[in-house]
Amino acid sequence: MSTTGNEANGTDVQDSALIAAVPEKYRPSFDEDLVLVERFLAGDHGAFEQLYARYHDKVFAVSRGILLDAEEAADAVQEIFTLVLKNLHRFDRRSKFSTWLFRVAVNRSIQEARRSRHKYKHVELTEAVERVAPEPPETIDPKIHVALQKLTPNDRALLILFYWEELSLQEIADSLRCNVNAAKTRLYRARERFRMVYEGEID
Amino acid sequence: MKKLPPEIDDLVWTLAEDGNAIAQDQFRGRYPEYAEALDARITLVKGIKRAKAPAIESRPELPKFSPKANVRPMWTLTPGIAALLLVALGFASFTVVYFTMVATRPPAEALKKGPGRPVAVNFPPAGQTPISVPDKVPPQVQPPAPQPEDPAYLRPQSVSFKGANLALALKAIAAQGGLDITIAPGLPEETIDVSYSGVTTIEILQDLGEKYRFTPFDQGDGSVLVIPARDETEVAKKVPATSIPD
Repeated sequence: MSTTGNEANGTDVQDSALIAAVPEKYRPSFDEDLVLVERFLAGDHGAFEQLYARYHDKVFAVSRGILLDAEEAADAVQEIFTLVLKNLHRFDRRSKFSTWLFRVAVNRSIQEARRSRHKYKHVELTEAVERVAPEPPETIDPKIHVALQKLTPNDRALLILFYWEELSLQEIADSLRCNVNAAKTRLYRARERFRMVYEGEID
Repeated sequence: MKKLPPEIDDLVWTLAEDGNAIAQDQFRGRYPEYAEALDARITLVKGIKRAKAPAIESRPELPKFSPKANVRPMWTLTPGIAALLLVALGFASFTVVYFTMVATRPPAEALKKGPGRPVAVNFPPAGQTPISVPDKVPPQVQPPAPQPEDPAYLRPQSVSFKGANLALALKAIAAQGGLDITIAPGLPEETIDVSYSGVTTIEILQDLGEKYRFTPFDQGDGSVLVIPARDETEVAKKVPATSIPD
């Protein structure tokens, strides 16, 4: 007995409809990222494009939050995905792909932020006047922007992962390669420093 | 704004992050003195969460992925980590050397048995100065003495002379064997031809003594005395040389 292509497609559509009807929490867990990773490692370059499209915004947000500069963040995102492309065979699958990706993104963005800080240390005053400082968008509270600028890149990374990406403490710990307690302590300290800067208790 | 007690501070953070309006109202009702702090915290948390959206909007459409050629390696050592690694390496090498020294140190009991300062049992009579007892020099562990090698004159030699004066030949043979030779007067002036191989100096001298009628007396201190006379009774007892002179 043979099965035609239409029949097969019809079955797929039926299955998809059935799966969609089941509430999400009762669906079997299925790591699409891992499938894409395996497909890429098997030689399917399109799979990497899908990973890129899926995570570009998140990686850009993390990088933008740490670097506080959209242009630098866009450059950093390209670097981060280049690193991922080159090192995907090292992904050990002990954590989720997204966690591993955030780890790469956070580390590289912090490195870039440190480099940028040193780079701007030696800018001449005339150059600095000519440079147009990136204006924060109007919808963002300027005090928030200033307070974030005054924090260290590490503190910013913690706040971005927690408040923007809404990662759990366990996911933050995995992203920063530390245990949950350390991540919690570091996050609470960063949060407190942010509050103190925001409220003008420290400069 | 005054500092909040730690438990209230934690609660304020939790309520601000959770965003549950009912819980927040309950807090305000229960702790009206901290209502202002809660409102400030809510503003702070909302502000940082809202800061994400403009950041995303500020980027253009999904840019095409263009891998960069010169990207620094994924995990690079920062100077701080490199310095820490150096310190750790130094500490590790120190530890290894230290424990190696401890392992080769003599046991504590051996150290306890070492010589102490001698204690005078009797005090000197009044008016006399006490005799000072010098500290004993701790005996040093000497390396085992090497076994004395046989002197040269007891080792096999090879000697060959032709037409040599007897006295000169004896002196040369003794010199080659490291013997100090003394020749008593009266040794006949003779010219000799000798050839020995694998024979000790003393045996050579004894053999020549039999032939040319003198007696070599081994003094036992590396010297030999040659007397130009022979005790015929002793001749028979002499051990023949391993090599026969030509």
